[in-house]
Amino acid sequence: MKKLIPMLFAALAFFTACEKDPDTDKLDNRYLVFTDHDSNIGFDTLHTYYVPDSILYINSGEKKEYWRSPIAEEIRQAFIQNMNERFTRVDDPLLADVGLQLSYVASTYTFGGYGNYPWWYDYPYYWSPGYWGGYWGGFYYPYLVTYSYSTGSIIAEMLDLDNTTTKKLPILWNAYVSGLLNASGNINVNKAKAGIEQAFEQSPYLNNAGSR
Amino acid sequence: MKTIKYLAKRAAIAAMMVVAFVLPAKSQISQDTYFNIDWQFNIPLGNDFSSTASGWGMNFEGGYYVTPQMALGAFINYHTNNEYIPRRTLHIGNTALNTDQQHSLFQLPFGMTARYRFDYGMFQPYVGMKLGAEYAKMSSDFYIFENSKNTWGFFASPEVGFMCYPWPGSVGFHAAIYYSIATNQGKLMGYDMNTINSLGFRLGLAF
Repeated sequence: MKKLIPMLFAALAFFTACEKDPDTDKLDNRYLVFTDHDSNIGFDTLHTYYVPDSILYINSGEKKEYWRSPIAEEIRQAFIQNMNERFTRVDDPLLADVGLQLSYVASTYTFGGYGNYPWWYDYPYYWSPGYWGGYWGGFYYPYLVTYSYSTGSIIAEMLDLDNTTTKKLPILWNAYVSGLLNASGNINVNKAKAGIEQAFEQSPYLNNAGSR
Repeated sequence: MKTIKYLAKRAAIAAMMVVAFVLPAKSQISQDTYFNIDWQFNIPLGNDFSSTASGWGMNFEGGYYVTPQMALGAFINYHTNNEYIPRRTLHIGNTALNTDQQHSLFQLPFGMTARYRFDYGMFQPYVGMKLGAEYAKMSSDFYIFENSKNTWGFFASPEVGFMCYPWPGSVGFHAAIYYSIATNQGKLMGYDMNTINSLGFRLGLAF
């Protein structure tokens, strides 16, 4: 009996390895869009938004970089177009109810090096909370974030600039659009724009913005 | 004359088959035991997680005849059923995920088997029952990610089949049709799985 149990476990381990892997070539390779939000916030109380003039470029280096190019601008404009359908855009972050910070993940090195939850908290060159004009001590998600990051992804985070009750800046909505690289390793802009459109489409609560 | 010859030939073949199929014993390698190695084709029933039929499985079992008709033994088999899930938006709690997926359901039941054969000649039809435990893994592959869940449950599977030994004292053939039910339950990415029911068949070798 003492020999039988290890043999049984060995047999199970052997047969478990016989599982056929799924054929991932059948996947459509378009994009993956993940969104999450704080369900305690009433989006109908939010009216105005501000978006910075560039996209943060998260690379393997520690130096802060921004992505400024016609492609980056096309991606930024795709967000602006969708936001304008729901919020009123303002030019001063101090006048905005929410801020929308955009990032492009060119390398996942940073996430591996600094931990992934909350990976931006201690990272000195990420979007500075001070950028948003307050005395914020960092960012925080009021909800659990459980997704992974991969190269060639766009991250959008909507910040509650009206909040004065917490020391950290709450992130009310976030979108993660991934799978955007083409075979040559460059971002596919059409895929990115379709993914951004999808991010708003699958977040119907944003349609209530400014309704009260 | 030709008709008589034809009929005689048909009668002779039929007689040979009848004699062959009712030959007593000595048809298999060992009269007291049997062993089957099978390829398996499995059709999941009433399961919206992974319902596409597939031939990605095998069955191994062996038994000892405690009476000339009745055998008790052990079995283990495995099977994978994959299903492509077209792109859709999954709403789970406050989150939403838009992607297409490849679902996989891997089943690994094992346990005891009982078999009653109606004959022990060259052709041995039988009915059987397998009882045991089942390990099953639900997994979803999407983009570059995989999400999976391991489940355990009780397993029961009645089957009917036959073993055929055309060459006395040598290897033979095995075929069976089975139905199986496992009590495994699991939730993965908004999909609920309550019990796993399957229908399938096995083709293989008999020793």
